[in-house]
Amino acid sequence: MSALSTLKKRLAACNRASQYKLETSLNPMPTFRLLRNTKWSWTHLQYVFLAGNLIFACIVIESPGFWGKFGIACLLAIALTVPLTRQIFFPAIVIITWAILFYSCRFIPERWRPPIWVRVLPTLENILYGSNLSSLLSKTTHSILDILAWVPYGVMHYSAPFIISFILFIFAPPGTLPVWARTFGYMNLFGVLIQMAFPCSPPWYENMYGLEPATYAVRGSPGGLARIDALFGTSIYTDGFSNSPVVFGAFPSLHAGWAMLEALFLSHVFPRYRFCFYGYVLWLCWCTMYLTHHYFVDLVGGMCLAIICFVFAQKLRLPQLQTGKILRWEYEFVIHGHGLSEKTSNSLARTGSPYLLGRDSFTQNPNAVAFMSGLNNMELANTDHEWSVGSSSPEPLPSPAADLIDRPASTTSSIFDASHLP
Amino acid sequence: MALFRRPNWSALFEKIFIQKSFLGFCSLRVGCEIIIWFAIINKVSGLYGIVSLFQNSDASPWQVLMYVSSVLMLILFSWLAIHIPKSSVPHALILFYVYLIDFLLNVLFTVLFALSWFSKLVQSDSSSTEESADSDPSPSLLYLFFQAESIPSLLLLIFFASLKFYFVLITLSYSNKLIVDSGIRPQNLPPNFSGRVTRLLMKPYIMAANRSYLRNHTKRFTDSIELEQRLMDEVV
Repeated sequence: MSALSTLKKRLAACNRASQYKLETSLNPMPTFRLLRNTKWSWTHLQYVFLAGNLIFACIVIESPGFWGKFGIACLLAIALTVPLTRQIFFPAIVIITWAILFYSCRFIPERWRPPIWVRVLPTLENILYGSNLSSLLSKTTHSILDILAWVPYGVMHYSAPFIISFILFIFAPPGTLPVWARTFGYMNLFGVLIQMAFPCSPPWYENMYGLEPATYAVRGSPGGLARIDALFGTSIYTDGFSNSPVVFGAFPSLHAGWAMLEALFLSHVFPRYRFCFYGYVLWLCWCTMYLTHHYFVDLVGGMCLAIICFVFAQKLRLPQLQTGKILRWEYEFVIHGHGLSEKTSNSLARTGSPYLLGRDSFTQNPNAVAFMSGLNNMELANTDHEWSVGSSSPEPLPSPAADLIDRPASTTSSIFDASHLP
Repeated sequence: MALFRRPNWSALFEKIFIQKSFLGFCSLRVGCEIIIWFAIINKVSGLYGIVSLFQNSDASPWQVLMYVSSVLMLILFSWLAIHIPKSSVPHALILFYVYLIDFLLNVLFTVLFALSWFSKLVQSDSSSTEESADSDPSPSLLYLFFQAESIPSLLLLIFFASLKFYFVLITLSYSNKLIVDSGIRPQNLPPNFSGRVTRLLMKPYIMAANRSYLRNHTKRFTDSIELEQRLMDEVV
């Protein structure tokens, strides 16, 4: 009975008016208005960087040809202009850049590329960690172990980002999904750039060719996943890895990076179950070494890259959880980040009293968070309030957050500020 | 007059080694969070190392020692990772000492495994070269060393060791900052176990900072004088 009443309270709270509504408009004029109102700052240099990567990829890619690339560019421009699609494509612009750059690696001329390092990773593995862990863990193989390694590596790896995006949209504060998209995109983008600048051979190369110097004519190998193809009678992984654009992209391991970033974001939203998520990361790391796709040094590089990206996102932009709220529709206001530098962290605690709040400092005061949480809980409690002799009116208590709801967003936000996106 | 001033060693030491921020733009607390996560990720190798021991019968005692110490350090760093974001002084002190011990242990293991690896490499290369061309004289040791892509490996090893040394300085600076900001004094600590441990860990900081504490003592004494005067005025 109490669970049912709690559910009724939460569903009633979801019907409140909120500033975090999804865009449904097809009119491109608000986008140009936001673009005109933008106050430029140093953070907008990231778009110059992204444009540079896209231009390089556009120059290098040979298939599709000019009209194909022109068509894709036009579609992207339209998607970024229409508000209905802008709310999806603008946070995902980094992921799109990474995907295009990853595909362009197939067409880069060999004379532009640095030489491939074959012995550096085995040397680092033996010196830093005592032995070649990947070689030792993959020495003993078995069908059951193959299945255990295939499930996270070949199945959950590619489906998890979509599932986590859905989870972050429903069960996290508004604005978490764009931060996840940006962080995920930047981790992959930096990972691919490192793989292009520092090409290293994976363990399967050492198993097939020894420590002989490698060339870019060598095609990718599925490594231990060939046993999965043999077990199921398919050639999915053999064909997929043979046609991979990045054959010598061992360091850093983006498999480990994906798993670590997913674990960190899910731990932020569900702190109670974080050890399950970390256990999954350990499992996936074993899979990559067992299937001879990465050395342990690669996994360390991938996980460190994920942690750097997550810490930056968490301190700068990631919305904070509020006590007692589960669904995205329960949030009336959102506090972004914790502050990256000493100056920013100190300014968060500058206002001491929740009763002497100005409009600007309201959402940055930790005391105001507790105050507003208490008010919201009282408001939730009043949903089922029955009329009695002592009460003068069934209306809920007035809320200072109501001023924020009516604030016009078009005058204060800009197209490059992701706070107005759902 | 400035030329004859005695060198203030404690201030000089503080200026060189104590950092104000992590990489120039992050706070020390954020830096310590990143450092702890990096340490945990590196110590995960102990788990896989122990698993691989069941398949590697000729593992040396140094490898076993490294894996066991890695697992113990993994448990310790995981415990510290829970408390560091809360700006706890004892845990920051423990982090600095544990990280320093871990750094020294890692340098020892790295040098040991590096000598073993490169000597094994040179032996195998020289034997293969001798087999292929018997008439030619044996090539020099330096040529074999350079041929095996050893220069980038050595540079990366030196870079990682330097990075860890910088991380040691960051943990030292963070613990020092917490002690100074929190105003904790050894005589104020409770007499229970955690208080005794904290007092013991703080002892090097107190000895190193004696001059600066003496220098700041007058200010606190003046504050006390003002407080007493205010109380006397109220009484009168």
